[in-house]
Amino acid sequence: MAAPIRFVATQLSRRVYPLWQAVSHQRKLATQLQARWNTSVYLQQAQGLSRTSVVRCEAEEDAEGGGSEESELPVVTWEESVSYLRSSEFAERYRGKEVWWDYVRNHKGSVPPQKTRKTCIRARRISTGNPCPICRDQNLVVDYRNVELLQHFICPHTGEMENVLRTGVCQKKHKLLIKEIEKAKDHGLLPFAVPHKEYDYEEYFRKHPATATDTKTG
Amino acid sequence: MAASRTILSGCKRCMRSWLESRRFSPTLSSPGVRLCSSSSGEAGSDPSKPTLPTPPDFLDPAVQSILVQLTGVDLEKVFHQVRAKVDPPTYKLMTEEQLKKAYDETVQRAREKLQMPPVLPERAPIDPTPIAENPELQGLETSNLVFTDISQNIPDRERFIVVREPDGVLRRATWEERDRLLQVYFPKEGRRIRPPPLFNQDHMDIVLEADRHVDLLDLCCIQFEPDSPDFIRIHQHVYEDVFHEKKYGLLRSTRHFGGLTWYLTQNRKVDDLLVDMLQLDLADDAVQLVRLFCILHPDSQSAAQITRNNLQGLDSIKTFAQYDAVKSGVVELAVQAYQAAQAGTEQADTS
Repeated sequence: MAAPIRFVATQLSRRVYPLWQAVSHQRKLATQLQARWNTSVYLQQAQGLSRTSVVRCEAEEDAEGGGSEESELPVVTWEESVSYLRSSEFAERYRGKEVWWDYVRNHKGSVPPQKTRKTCIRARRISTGNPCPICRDQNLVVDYRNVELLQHFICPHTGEMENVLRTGVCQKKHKLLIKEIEKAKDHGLLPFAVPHKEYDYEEYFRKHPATATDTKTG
Repeated sequence: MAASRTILSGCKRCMRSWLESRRFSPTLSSPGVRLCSSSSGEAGSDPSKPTLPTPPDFLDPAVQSILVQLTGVDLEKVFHQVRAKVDPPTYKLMTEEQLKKAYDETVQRAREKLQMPPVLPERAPIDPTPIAENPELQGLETSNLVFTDISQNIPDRERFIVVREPDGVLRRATWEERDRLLQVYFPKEGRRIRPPPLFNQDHMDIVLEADRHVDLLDLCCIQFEPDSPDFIRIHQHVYEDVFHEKKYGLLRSTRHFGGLTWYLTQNRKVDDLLVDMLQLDLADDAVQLVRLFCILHPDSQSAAQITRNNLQGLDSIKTFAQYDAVKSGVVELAVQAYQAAQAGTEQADTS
């Protein structure tokens, strides 16, 4: 597929000058983001924007409103996340690719640390300048019923979860993803391959005292 | 994996039919289990007897041969691309003979994959009478204690699992307790200790809406034993959905088609399946289905008519439509449409 190849190519090219590329990429993102979008704590504090302006695709009134002094992350329900994933803002932002396609981790050297950061969110606020693909967009809620978002993190060919080094999500969100994907499979929302069961028909006709039924005691 | 010994209860008719099944259908994967049900036999075999015998069970060789034929072997579907980690394909140069041999082996592997899960009556509860009663143990424990024999190489149904209740009674474990504990000590691949919520009614409806009937039935075969009430309930729910939505193509050429056909024929719901077969130009399958109906319902009018007049082919389907079909008009129309299509193709061939 073109998208992973292009992504890998950009990753390789970015590894050559990691620091410079990361800084320029951040600048590009900052200029692209509008006031309505969720931005990092650093930029917001620098520009004095409120954190609680949430993207609602149907423009519903919510209890929090805008202009709150606190910069805590608002709570988005899974239904709102599902409708956000089908909205035009989502399509415009992610251009039909996975939510992690343009995310670049910041690290020294050409080899990234083999574990992503522990968490992006501490005390209900984003505590890093480059939050992971799920934490940076507050409308992405990891829930077993939000199957479309879970599919972003499952390889379409093997049905396995994507490597965390590839997606770049923080460890806390990665564990949450594993849990919710397993739960979605349990509830029948995600398909998975099942081993083949071979039957020995005779097994069901033998009688044994260990499994004696009522009729046999006579 | 299947044991080589078979159970023969000595009745001559059983032995004869088992020997015939081994001779005529060697491709059947079942190792020739024969149950001597009290009077198993085909309806058409003894027309002179005044009382008709009871219909045969699922594993009867005559029934199995019909079901195998109806299931069919579509290699593309049996070996379809699975969404799992697979190796890249290998390429081999072969002669014609090697290619034919490889093809035959593939067909054999496909038939093994199409082994039907057995259709069994619901299991009777395990004998609840206490093995021992020790009232002196009352009050020492607050919950049941389960003792399992974990020796190796004992079949599941021969393994002793007993429960000591808090009031001192020692009894055999129930079927549900047995299934849970056998999975704890001797886990089977893909099976959970407790069944997932997928098998509740509303979750099953979500899965069936997505046309994932085969997935659901495969999961059910992995999770439950064929004679457990959950297995029977889930299979019946799926078969009813297939019947109402007319999604026969989903199960065709899978291991579950035999069970579906058996269920529909038992409950006299074969009309839409007949029509589906005729629309797909599977006239032979339709005739076999009518024959299966006559075997399972030997006291029906169409069975009597077909055996008396020795009807073959589309005539038997017409007789069935006339006497025993619920939607007789639809079936007759389908037969006429099939005949017209056949006549049309013959004219096109000759012209």
